[in-house]
Amino acid sequence: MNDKGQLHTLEGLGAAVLMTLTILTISQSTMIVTPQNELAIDVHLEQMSSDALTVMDRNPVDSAQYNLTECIACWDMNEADYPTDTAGNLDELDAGLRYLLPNALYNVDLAYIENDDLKVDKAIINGPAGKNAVVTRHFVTLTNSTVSEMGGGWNLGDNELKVVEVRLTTWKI
Amino acid sequence: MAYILEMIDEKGQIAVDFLLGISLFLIALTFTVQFIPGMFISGSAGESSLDYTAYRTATVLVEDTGWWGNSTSSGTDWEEHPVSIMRIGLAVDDDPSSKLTNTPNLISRNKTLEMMNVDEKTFIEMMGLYNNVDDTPFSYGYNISFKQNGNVLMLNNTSIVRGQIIPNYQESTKITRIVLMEKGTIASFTGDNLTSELANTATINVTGPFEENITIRISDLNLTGSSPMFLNASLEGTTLTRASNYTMWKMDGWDKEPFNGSLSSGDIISFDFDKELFSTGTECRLDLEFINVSLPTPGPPFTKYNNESAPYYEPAYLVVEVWQ
Repeated sequence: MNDKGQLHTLEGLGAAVLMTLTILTISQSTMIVTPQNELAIDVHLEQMSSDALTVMDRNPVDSAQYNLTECIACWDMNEADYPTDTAGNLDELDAGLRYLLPNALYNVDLAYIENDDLKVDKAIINGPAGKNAVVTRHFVTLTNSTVSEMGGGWNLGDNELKVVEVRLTTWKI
Repeated sequence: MAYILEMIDEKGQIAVDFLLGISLFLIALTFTVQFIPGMFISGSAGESSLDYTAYRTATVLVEDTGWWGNSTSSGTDWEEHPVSIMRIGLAVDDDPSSKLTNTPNLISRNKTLEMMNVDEKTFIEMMGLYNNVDDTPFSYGYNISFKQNGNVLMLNNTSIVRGQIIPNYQESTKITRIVLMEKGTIASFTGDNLTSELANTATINVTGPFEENITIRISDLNLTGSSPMFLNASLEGTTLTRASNYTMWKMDGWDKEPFNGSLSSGDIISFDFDKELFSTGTECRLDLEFINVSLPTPGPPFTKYNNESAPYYEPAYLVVEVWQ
């Protein structure tokens, strides 16, 4: 019988302490987690596209630029066809977004419930979304009076409210 | 010799003393790192705190209405009570007694102008544009501006820019927000509700004074005959000079396109009149003369600009840049 094994146990202990310390250091230290530069760019783009939807939404009704609800209400329900017909009859929405996001490309999808099913229609297609695309969304509520005033194809009942989610996918060129 | 041979048999095992030493050292190092914040903060960690500061500053300015308060009352109209400011925010609020706004990204002209008057120390403190290092506040360098078409926006003949010149040798963080800026007042008319006394001439009564230039927008004009056009504008019988007294545009959404006078159906035209024209404070008669445009509503009485006017918002960018 010899006593070699004792030192091995101590080595094991030492290794355990080292591992525990490493895990502790990593999990407790906030300094190690630094935001990636790319992430910051994404946040910036997401903020801009969210702002673009908010600005469209909050634009006063008497402005020369139609606001988001009016733009969506005028839609004729025909999906866009890339690249021949990128915006359908949503020229007003397209012009507004292009004005607000001059350095980015975007697609717009409209999601709404029809006959208890969620329908997602491609309203504006400016191409396949890039690698770092971000999605922002905004809800608008349509009534029959808004739709008929704007001449859209939504076909709502007099007391019907239609909630439409406007999904804006934006990416840098 | 036998002792050395025995040692060779036990190769690969480290000395207990070394293990103890290194463990103690590592424990000590870990505690030092954990209990002295800032010891290992590198450049990238510093940048991230600038990221937060720029983001926060821009968000507070764009989405908050601000708040003032003293022992008796409070409200969001802090621009009226500059001595008791509690928060600075620029969002428009139609109800100063509620703490909320339903109009984020809509920027109030008066709040923006008052922001320019807030003294530096209060501003840095309110916006949190400083960092505490060992309980000593260090102000960040900052530059906050509203921009339109690449230029700094002007309100009341003041460039809306606060802070220092952006150093080009130093790393900084920039956040841009899209906003709608209140730039003055606008009255929108259609061809049918413009009043007219003389043929082809629309007459609007305007009472000054105004703080900003005024905008008149006309849509749905009833065009008759060939090549209808806008001829000139006159105030109290005096013909105004284009470019110096007023500018005019064709509007396509937010886009302003040049307008040379000739009209086609569906055009929305927009006139910006210099505020100095109405500085007398009395009611003035503004005539807009057209060719081949029918104006079906007879006057007097004439439409009043001041009855129809509403705040005029235009898209602009808020740019916040922060550095150490």
